[in-house]
Amino acid sequence: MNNNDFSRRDFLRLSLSAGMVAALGNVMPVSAAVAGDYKALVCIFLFGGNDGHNTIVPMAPSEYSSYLAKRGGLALTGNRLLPVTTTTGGQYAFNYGMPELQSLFQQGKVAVLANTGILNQPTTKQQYQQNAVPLPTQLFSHSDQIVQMQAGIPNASASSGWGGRIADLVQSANSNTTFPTSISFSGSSLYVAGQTVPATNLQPGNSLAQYAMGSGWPQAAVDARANAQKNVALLGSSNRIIAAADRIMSDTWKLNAILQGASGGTLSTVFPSTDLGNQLKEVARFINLRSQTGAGRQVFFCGLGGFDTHSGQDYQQWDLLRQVSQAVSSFYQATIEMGVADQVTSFTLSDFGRSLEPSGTGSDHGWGNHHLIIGGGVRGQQVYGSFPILNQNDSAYDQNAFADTRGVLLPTSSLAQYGSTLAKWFGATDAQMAGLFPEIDNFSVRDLGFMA
Amino acid sequence: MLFRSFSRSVSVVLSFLLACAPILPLTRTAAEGFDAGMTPMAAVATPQVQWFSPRIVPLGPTTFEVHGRYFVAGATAKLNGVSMTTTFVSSSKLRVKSNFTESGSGNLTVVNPGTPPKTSSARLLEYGQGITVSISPSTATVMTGTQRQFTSTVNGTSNKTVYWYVDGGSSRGTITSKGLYKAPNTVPSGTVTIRAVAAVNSERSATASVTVQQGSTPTPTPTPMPTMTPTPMPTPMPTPSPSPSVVPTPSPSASPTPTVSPTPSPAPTIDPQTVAAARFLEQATFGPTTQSLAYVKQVGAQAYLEEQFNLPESVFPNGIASSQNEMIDQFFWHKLRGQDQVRQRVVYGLSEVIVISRNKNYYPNMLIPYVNILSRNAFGNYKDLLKEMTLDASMGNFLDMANSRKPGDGMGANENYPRELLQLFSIGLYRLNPDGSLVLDGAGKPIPTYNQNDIRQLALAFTGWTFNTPSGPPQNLNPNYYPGPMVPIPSQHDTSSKTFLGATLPANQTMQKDIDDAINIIFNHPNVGPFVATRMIRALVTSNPSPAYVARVSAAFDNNGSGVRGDMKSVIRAILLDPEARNDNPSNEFGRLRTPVQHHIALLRALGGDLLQPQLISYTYEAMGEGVLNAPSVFGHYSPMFRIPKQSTPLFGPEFQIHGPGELVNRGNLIWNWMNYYQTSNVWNLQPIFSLGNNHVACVNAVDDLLLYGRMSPALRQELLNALQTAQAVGADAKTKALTVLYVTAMSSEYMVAH
Repeated sequence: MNNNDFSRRDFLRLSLSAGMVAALGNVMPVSAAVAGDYKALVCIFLFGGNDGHNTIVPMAPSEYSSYLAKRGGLALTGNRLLPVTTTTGGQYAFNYGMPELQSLFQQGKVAVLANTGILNQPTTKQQYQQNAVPLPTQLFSHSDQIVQMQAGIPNASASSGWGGRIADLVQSANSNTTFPTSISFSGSSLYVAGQTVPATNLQPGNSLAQYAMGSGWPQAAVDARANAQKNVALLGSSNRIIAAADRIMSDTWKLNAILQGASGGTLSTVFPSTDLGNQLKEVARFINLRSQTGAGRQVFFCGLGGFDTHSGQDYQQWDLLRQVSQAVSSFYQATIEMGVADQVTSFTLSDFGRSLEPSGTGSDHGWGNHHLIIGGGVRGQQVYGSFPILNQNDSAYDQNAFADTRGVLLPTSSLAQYGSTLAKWFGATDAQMAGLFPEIDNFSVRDLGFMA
Repeated sequence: MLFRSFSRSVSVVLSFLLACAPILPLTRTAAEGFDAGMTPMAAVATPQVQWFSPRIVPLGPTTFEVHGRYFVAGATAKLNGVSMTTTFVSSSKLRVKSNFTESGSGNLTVVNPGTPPKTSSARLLEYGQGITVSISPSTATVMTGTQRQFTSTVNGTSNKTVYWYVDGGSSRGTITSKGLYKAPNTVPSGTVTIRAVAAVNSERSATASVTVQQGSTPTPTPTPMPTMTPTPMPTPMPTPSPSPSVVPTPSPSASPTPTVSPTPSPAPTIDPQTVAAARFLEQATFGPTTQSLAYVKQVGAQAYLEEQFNLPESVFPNGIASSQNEMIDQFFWHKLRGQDQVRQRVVYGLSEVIVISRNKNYYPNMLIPYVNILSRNAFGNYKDLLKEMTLDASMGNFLDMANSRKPGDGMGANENYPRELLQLFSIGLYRLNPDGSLVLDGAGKPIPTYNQNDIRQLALAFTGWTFNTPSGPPQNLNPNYYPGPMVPIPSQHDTSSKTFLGATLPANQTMQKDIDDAINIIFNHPNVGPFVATRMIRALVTSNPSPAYVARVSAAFDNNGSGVRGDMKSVIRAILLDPEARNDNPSNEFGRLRTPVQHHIALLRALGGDLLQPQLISYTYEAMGEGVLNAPSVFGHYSPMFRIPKQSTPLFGPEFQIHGPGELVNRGNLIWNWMNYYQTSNVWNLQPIFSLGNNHVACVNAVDDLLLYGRMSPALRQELLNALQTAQAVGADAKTKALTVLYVTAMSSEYMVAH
């Protein structure tokens, strides 16, 4: 039975059949707009394929010596390792660019999800090598894997992303239906694209002000221009397509008013002035506006590029993870300041992991990867999934965690499981999960346990 | 010529622009910088230099602009390390004084003050003539199989290196890195173009024309060489110079006395012929110009269409663009300037059905063959389009059919292309009635057109194709190479019989026969007619066609009247000349939202505008959801099946999938920049409309005529007049008022929705 095929059918059916769209709304379990009921999912996409092997390093002595042996010149040593201990005594270390996340991990606000990637179904090494089960298409290809990780579907492509589909489900929790439920601050992104509710992308720091409607001389003339545009959109049209476009225009003015009126930067949390810092600062600002925007559930997408470290990896990855650590830590502080730390969860995605064996001063494209989940709602200070045992003499060594001899990880947890754990926390029901992640039925566990 | 002068009135508004954050280019790099304009923090960012205006600085005392990001007050531009007099304008713009005495180029950097100061990476600045390249000899005749040495001269830079190319690939000869051309062994068609591209700037190049003649036979056969004359550009603009004809109404330009008396009913009378021609052109082209409008009124839609069918297509002048920027320029120019407007519009529609994206096919040589196939077959047969696309190397790369081999060694045949070919390019997921509705089974459920086994079998039929090679016979698996179609490697082809869509290909057919038969089977599936009809009607005319309209177009696909299936001319005629399309008082569900690119190009065409360097603004379309040739996936920028959200009864609106508040504002801001700053030679000349600004009724009428053909809604008209009255009362000048009319109309839903 092929899952890809039917999943894609189901998705298209949603947009083909009005009945299905209506049904989707009806089964929505999230009780809408309970005061104080707010949750946000913040995806941080590490473009290029972050090297998980050097993001979190196993520090149990036999594991670390295996790591040293296999990683060669790429191995982190000494003060390039920031040690952490899990609640169950597991020994690991973060990359030396991540002191803030090290601290948050020890405070129980960060969880690690080990060896996770795109899969159709649980897959052994033998099945992979003999092509005995359906495999995701075009593994190791940046463009395809970026699409698949955002789509949540192990095919080359899709028309919606799993963040957008979650947004479709929870739209009814938002009292102000003009406000987009899913927003990208990293350009146009498939992740936030829904099937029934369009997403939008915004540039950090750039409000929804039209240049033509800002300040000018005489100001009253510019204001009159703005009023003309607003009024025309409100007057409506008998043509339904024109009226629909008018609604977007009216929504834009309403949103702009909200953003302008509340753009005072009331948060005292300081964000690093990096690309990702600016994006997460904007996410925090939008969360802070939630009572004015009527938002009950929101999905955000941020991104940082440069992780395709085929050479010169050590400094580059340190520099990038430093930016991630600083920005994510500031963002977490901001959620505390706003009193929503338990209601906002950030998590990483990336194209794929990388090979354990180095290639020169870098590493090559891989598959499974380690990911970070950050927030007050996270059951932190723990490693979830199955962290691959590197020492082949260890009794717990599982060859199925490796796709080849170069240390490319074969995922032991799937993106579908990762996403469904987050979606469940966000309010999606078990019955809705297959609509979000068509392959989820192939996995016995839908909740990997890292969310409280 | 490119140099913009800033009038006083412009600089007033400029100061307002500074208050707004610039549109940041989409970047996924780990920029350590921040925007000085919005983050008042102490660290000094590293500036980035993006482009110069004018692009080539004139000799003599002058001022030019440096555009980029993260400039701070006190930033200094340096040319080859020597400081220049620099004025800080904004975090994205500096103004620099220069006085070059001779042509040349140099490396310009920008230094932000601080401890330590931060220096941008260098960008090549050209002045005077800039960098020029020439080839000697510029024409030559070479016998087949013999060699000829060409030499290049590069002026304006110390780097004299050029890269040599033969346009059109190795069948037209080869050239060494030192310019030694070797003619092919057989005479190629037409003249061969040899190209030298400056290493320091790939936009500076020169060409030489070579006539290859048969070497051994003394009688020179008179080769007619009908094609490939090196015309530098496809076709000039309909409006080559900023003509005052931009306002069609007889405008008494100096003294703005209204031609229509300002009585309570100031609206112009609607001319039904104008509306009919304009609506047709909105559907069939990238928008009416004053010229095309007059022409269609004269000859009629049908004659115009037939004439368009016979026009030569806009082509990439050299067959292939040498740079990403050149490709983007040409791509926009074809749509904006091309005479073959109907073809361009059909190609655009097809490009949302059959998709290749820069997200995987990064370079021009991986995209232009695809665009060319769409263009070449736009008025041909859909079967040929499918067949050519199937074997195209750029599609082979995008959807992985290239190097898909017969199963073995733990590898299966690649299923990516077969799946998308069926789902997205030809028949779709469910069986369709001729009117586009779903065929339902006894339980009221849609019936799948194919299953995974069909895909697997089709994948087997498509095994064994690989990239061609620039030289030498193809091996089993070749690296990426894009000129021409893929080539067959029989040893890699699965020779078993294949059964899919209820038909069987016998075992041991040739690879070409397997392709031909497979395409034949798919093409003859009854879904293809309604599939293509639904998508192309939505792309050209209306998002919610009646089932009967779809059925009429399906029928035209199934049979062009002479028994031919898949004739695209027949389909296009049926779409554009259908009574539902040509009804000038359509239903209240009629129309479609223009995409951002279509919106902007229509506006430029209506107002006599041009884009000299579309490459400079192409990135802004990413922020509008319509990255140029850069759809997020093979599903295109938006789904043809997308429904507009929050509707009481279902309403399709594919383009609404990329129409949110952020995208809307970005549409408007680009228009505003053009209207307010890029007057005269850079984009358009709006002075004739600005001059009407003090005559409110005449100004509104002029814009109504240009953009809405006299159909402006009373609501919009009244709101505009109210705004102008307020502006008048507070002393606004004519330009400010005219901009209100132009901008609000251009951004009105009644303009954005072609209806």
